[in-house]
Amino acid sequence: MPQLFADPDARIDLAMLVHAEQEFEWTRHPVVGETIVARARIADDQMRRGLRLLTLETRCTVGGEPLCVSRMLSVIRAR
Amino acid sequence: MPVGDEIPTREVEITEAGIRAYAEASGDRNLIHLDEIYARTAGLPGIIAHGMLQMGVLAEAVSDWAGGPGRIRKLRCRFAATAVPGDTIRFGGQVAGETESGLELELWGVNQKGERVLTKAAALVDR
Repeated sequence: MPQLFADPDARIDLAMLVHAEQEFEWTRHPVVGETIVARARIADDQMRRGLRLLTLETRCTVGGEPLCVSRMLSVIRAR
Repeated sequence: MPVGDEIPTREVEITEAGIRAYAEASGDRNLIHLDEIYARTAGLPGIIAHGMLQMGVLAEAVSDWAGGPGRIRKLRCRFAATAVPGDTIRFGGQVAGETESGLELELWGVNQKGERVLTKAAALVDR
């Protein structure tokens, strides 16, 4: 997540960002000792009434097998 | 049938120290959670608690009722209002339905003023 938010191409003003919604869906839960790989993509990025609504979807896997999918909606206000 | 069953509530008192500890634990060191002047300049009332700090306590409430975090299949919420140091947030919910996928819970988070801090909150739990 820090990699995305700090990416200059993403143009995210962190001061003006609020975490608006969050959801998780677990295929199974991780066990101590496992290494989780998380891959995130921008699922949606749109302007609505002057607010930027950014949806980040992250897929977590262990050894290539699905663990969890999460979605984060951030609302970024203009300065 | 468990439909209508209420889950025991959990409370969290929001403090600056708790927010700082959560920033370290989560790695989310956005200054809106740590720096009062930065937060006010950004148009916030002051430093605010992470939404995920609240969702974590919500997850604890569900986990305690469900018999462990491993029994939670889905969890979602909207962070409807800010939570700041001095606030106390109470979380709870009830069983809204039962399907072959599991038990559907409707959840809520309310502060000491009765304002809903979490909305659209729900979980799916293994039966």
